[in-house]
Amino acid sequence: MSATPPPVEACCALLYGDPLVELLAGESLHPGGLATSRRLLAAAGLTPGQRILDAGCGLGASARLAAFEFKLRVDACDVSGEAIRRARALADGAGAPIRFTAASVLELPFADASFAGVLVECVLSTTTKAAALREIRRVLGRGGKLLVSDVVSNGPTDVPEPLASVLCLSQAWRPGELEDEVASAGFVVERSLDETAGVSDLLDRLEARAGLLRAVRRDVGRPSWPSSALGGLVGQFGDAASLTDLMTEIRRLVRDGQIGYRALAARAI
Amino acid sequence: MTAAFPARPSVARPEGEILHELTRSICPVCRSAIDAQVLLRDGEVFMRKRCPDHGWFEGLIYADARAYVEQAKFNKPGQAPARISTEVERGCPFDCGLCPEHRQHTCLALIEVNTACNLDCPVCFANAGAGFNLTLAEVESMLDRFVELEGHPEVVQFSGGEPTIHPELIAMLDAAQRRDIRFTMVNTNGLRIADGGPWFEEFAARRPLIYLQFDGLTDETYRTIRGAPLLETKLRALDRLAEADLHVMLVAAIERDVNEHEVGPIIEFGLQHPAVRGVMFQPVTHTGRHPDHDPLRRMTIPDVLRRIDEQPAGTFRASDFVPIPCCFPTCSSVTYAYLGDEGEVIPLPRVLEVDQYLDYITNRTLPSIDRDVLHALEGLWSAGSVPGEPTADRFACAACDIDLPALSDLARRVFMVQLRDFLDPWTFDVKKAMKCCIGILQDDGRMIPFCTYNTVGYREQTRARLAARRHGRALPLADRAATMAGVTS
Repeated sequence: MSATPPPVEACCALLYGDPLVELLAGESLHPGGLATSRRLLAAAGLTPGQRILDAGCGLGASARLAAFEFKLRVDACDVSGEAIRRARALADGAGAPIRFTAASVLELPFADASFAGVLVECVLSTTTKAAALREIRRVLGRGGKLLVSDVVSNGPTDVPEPLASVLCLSQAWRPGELEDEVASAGFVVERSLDETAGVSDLLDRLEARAGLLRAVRRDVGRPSWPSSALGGLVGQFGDAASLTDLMTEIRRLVRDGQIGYRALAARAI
Repeated sequence: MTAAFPARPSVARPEGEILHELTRSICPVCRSAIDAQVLLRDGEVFMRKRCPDHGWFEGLIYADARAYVEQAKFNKPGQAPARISTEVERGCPFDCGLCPEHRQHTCLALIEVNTACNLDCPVCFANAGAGFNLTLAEVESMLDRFVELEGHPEVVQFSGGEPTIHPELIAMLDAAQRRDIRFTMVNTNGLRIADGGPWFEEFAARRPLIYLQFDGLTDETYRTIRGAPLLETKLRALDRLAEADLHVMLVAAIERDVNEHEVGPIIEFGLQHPAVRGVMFQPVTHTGRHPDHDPLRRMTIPDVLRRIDEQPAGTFRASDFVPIPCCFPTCSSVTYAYLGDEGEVIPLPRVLEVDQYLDYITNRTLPSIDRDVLHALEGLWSAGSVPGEPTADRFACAACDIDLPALSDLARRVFMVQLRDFLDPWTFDVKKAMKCCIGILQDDGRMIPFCTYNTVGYREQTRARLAARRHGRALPLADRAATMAGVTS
């Protein structure tokens, strides 16, 4: 029996399965993209052949990175069946031997101590944090590595959905909270990386892709936005002026240190 | 007892300097090959070297040490040319070429059809003046040779001197277009184009791509670099090219303290002008003819990038540029942008992670790399990339997940900004020369990498040979060794 995911996780999952959001953000939907994922996986010090879980894998870009570049045995799960379907197709196309499962990070369909590592990027802030960390601790053996990246914010922001979800801002961690929760769930933090620069990169990418999409559709006389579950909400990306205002505001928050992106490698004790 | 080696004062070297690597260069005075140290100091990259006869030399290579080191990952494995012309005898750079040790085929070949010019610029790496005119027959055989060497070559560029004053240029364009060479390009100062008339009509009918020397938007700049106030002439040439619907790259030679401040305005001007498909910035090369300069203060690619970044409300940022991987990555950087009807300028590297695709060291097995996108990006990030439809198609392919249409209309909407830094006698590095993919075709069948041709002595040698030749009789390749003896020693 699967628990009903809390609203934000559901919204985020819907978002990740939405082709329009993929169009806007690219395949690696979290701040920092593959560069942050690569640094985290390198910090874990796992050896080829060890088993890792990408929990909340989205389209599976990090899972493929783990399989190909780090030669790990990879499982990947996401609460969105649509995301899993697309991730599986992408992995099959690339010849990546990844096992995909539709599952919530709150209820992982794996035995205790199944994995040497769990990668969880821009996911915990969308769900019940402590419960998710406990569940991750369960599937990691003693000495297993938790690789987590997420947004840290000094306070609530006015960033609207779905942008807030793409940027993991919806239930962002407070400063120090991530470290505390990770410790209470039975981990020792081994590496802590400041990946805040990645937020600006993701903003640039969102802005450029939205701008290009909008300009091309207008200039070559293509129809407007495709209909989609989030079409109405995402339509705001198509309005250049409001998008620019929003981006300017988020950049200000990043510059002022109100929003940061943190990556931790922690060991289960 | 006296020590055989008495203690001496040690040599004081600048504090904090890192010896990054040892390579081979030339002595700027006698041009003999000497070892050279590549040094990282104060965030910049320098070359220091010693000639046994002429002492120590030091020059600035690259004004961003971190970028210089990190860009190693963009060094794409070279691809052999179909055929080569010489053997390894004396070692790089004296066996051009191409010799078996060269690491890359030629993306873009130049034919310098003459040495004469209708300007007398204080700055001219070709040192234009009296010399030679190639005959049409000579150019035909060089074009044949290009096809023989490359198989299906991409781009031939006619240069000089000033190619538009060559009486047979139009026949040469026809000759190039009759062959299996994809693009024909003319590198010109634009004076003859500005005059228009029947010659221009004939010229424009061949639809060559135009590399127009365009150093700024002030007469002051042209007076300093070209020796004459040329702005009005340049603008007239551009308007004629726009009327004829030819694609133009503006090519700006950038010199420190002269026209650095024009970098941003040239880009903005290019974005607005209907004929202009791109801008190329080339820091002035201190070889051939040039005013006195301080090798420690020359312009380099990072200096141009800083000028781009400094533009208030500028359209491009330094982070929009990615090194070109087919040649040595620190030699060139380029970006492409989509131009929207409402004035949007959207650089491709903001749309997708171009730098991840073109990382040839960490990433080769990464499956998120779509092979079609990689192929399109390699076509764009190439020294042989030219403005126009193929570029637009590649742009559309690279941004395919954005659903960009591959329409001919897109060719007008894709804008290129490129930075290219040539080697001079202070910065010459065989490691870069061996990867060079821009070559100068010779009458004797050789193809000589561009910077090697300009710095090591090949240019002078070819000019002397061609100036002395009887019409239509070039020196055969077998006699090359005799003339090469004059290059060094």
